[in-house]
Amino acid sequence: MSKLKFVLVVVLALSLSTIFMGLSDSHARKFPWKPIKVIVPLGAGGSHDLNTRAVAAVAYDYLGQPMIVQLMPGAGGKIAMHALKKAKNDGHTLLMSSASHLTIGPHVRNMGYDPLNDFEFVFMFTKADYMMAALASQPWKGFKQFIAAAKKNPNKISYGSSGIYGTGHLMLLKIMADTGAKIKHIPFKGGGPAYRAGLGGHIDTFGALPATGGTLGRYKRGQVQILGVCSKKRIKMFPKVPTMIENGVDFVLASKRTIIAPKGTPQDRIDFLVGAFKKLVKNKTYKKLLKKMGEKPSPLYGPALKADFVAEHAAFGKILASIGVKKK
Amino acid sequence: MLDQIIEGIMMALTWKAILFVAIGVFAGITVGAIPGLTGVMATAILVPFSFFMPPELGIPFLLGVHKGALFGGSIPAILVNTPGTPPAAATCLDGYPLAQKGEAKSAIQMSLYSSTLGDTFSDIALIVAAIPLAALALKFGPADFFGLLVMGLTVISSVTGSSVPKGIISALIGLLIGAVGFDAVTGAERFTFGFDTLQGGIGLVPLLIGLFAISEVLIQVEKKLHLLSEKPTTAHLKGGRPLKMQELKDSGRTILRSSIIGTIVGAIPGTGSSIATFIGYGAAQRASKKPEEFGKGSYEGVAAAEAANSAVAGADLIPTLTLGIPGGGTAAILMGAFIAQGLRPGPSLFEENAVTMYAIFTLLLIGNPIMLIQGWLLTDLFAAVVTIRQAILIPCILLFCVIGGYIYHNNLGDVELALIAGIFGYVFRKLKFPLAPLVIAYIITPMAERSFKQALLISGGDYTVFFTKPISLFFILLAAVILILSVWKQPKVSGE
Repeated sequence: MSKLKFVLVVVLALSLSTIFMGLSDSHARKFPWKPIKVIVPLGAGGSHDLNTRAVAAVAYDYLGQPMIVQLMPGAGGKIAMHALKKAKNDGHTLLMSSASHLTIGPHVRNMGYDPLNDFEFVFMFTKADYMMAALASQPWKGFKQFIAAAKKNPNKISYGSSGIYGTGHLMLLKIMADTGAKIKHIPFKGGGPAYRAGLGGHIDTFGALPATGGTLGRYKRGQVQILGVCSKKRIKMFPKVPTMIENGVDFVLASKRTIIAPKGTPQDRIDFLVGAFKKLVKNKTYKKLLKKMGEKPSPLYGPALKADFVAEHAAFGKILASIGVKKK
Repeated sequence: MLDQIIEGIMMALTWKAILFVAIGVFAGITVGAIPGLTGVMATAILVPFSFFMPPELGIPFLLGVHKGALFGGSIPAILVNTPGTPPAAATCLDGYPLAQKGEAKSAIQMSLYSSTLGDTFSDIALIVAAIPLAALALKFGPADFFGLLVMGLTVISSVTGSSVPKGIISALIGLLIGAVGFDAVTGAERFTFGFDTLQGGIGLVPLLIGLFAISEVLIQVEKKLHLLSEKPTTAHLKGGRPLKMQELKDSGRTILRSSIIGTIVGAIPGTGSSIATFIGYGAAQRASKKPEEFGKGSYEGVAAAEAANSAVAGADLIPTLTLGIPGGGTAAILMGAFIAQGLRPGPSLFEENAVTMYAIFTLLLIGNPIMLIQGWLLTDLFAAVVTIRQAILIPCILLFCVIGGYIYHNNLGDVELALIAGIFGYVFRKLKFPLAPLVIAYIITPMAERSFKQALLISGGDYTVFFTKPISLFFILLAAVILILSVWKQPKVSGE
């Protein structure tokens, strides 16, 4: 009999504990009640990873819970995006997205998610404006001469991108469409190798970000020329560099470090996160970390953030459709 | 200049800084020794801690991790045929047969000494010749990469094991596995069969865990049950004898050769330590007086792999620091750490932060004797693993395999891949096919394919580009010479 009693006690204890488990998950508790996980769909050590870690470094003071960074690279961000889509929409699982997973990938291949409707757009922390660079030793100087040279010698001048259908490739497609010049596209595996090949003179033009790879220093000492920056207005670090719009190419592109959440995350929790992040971007330590990386916060949230992504999604879709890329 | 160097050295020589390096090295050895946990992951996890340390402490701490992990990876490779980090796959080839002969301790010591020597060599190269080596690295265009890889493949082709046809079949399978994923140039999917996990290609870590570790587990559990629960037959040796001075001396040339190979390959961004390690191993076998011992428990083989592997540690910082372009996976993370410390890698790094950089270099060098001492103290402890009953050891290995496969990309699909690779590896090894050619082909061919296509895109489809670029021509001629020499000398590796 004592055995049976023991079993009874155990079963009772277990069933009681399930009640408590149920409680802990209910809305009675104040959000967030456990660490917040942020998935990074890219590799370790990249600017995306560093940006996320800079946020995580100070997040506790604003969220009341630690922020855990989880890297999930692979398959062009598809694995990470699916992990977020499947995650519980209680606000404890977020993802630090970049544009390509949301606004390019879905046009090119079947990603298995709807970039604009399967996620909630929470907060953009920083953005790095994309630039087009070339060695200063090229016979042509500046964008106009570059295009003139490319038109004179079609398919002779090359551009090295971070990969096929990557952000840099898109910029090239748009430049070719708007100017009529024909430029050779050489895809690399990542922006770093393309940049290296550019500095070594193996390709003629390449992409660059303002803060990485010592671009500013190389520009100042006259090693590289910047043909244009893909921002709406000229940027402070490179005040003399014209925008692509000024160059006659209607193209805006930036690597946007944006927190997104699974669809259906309660609005009050999103509001809480936005409120906390708004204060976080003013944090001295955070700003110092960003400054060291050569970046600064450019917060965007609410309907304006969503609208930004909707517009980019549409613009990129148009460019890809114009060269006949169809979703496989 | 001189006073800056002295100031840097003074800054480095504090007990606190040295302690941080020691902690870093210890963490690195530990993480490296756990299969599936790589130095890349360890540094990634520890980078945020360095945010809040001054640069002359935080950076050497991470460099210590980087160093330690490269040596640590060889420990499970030797003891249980499980590469702790990807480049240690080459260490498995000779280290594990040695451990099975009851010479685990001396094999680990050989790995420790050659790691330390290779690392020291490349650190000195970094300090003395960073600028010219970086300039050389920039000269490598896609065509030159292809030339280098062709040369590398030629050197490594001697690592076929006893049967050449089986070696070739193995390499071709590796080539197929390497082709899985997106085509780098057209973006088309190849051999993905609709699986998301396969879209990015088959990951190096899950593949190696499966091929080496899980297949080993399967081979071990074939044994009769009572054998598994008994102490291993070599247990009474307690891991065996220490390494003889003469054995180290005999491998001196090998260590130097591998250090040079590791330093040069490491200085070229985008090649990585796995390639350097296998080239070092292949070159050692070709030059060795006893090439037939390779793959069956050669100390020279362990030395060749480990020296080349660790020589990448200092060298891949060369392009990272002087050009701002990371040399490899860990270097990419270290570059992030430099940036987060306000030390912006690139041509102006040394001008702006000379004193800090000299302090970092000093601690980089000090890290080597620290690793030697720690490794020496830990060897007995590690070697004791060979005395553990397999009934206990095997489940532990399997557990680490599953964890390691998962945390590679936090993706359960990679665990499934590792298990499939394990069953495949088991059948493969049962049929006496060598694993090394498969791994080498898997690592090299995607890179070679990409550079080949890029070179042709740049040249507009002109195949002569591989012979008109001086570096590419040099490597292709070198490959031809190696090929002619090996035919002329007749392969020394005889059939069984």
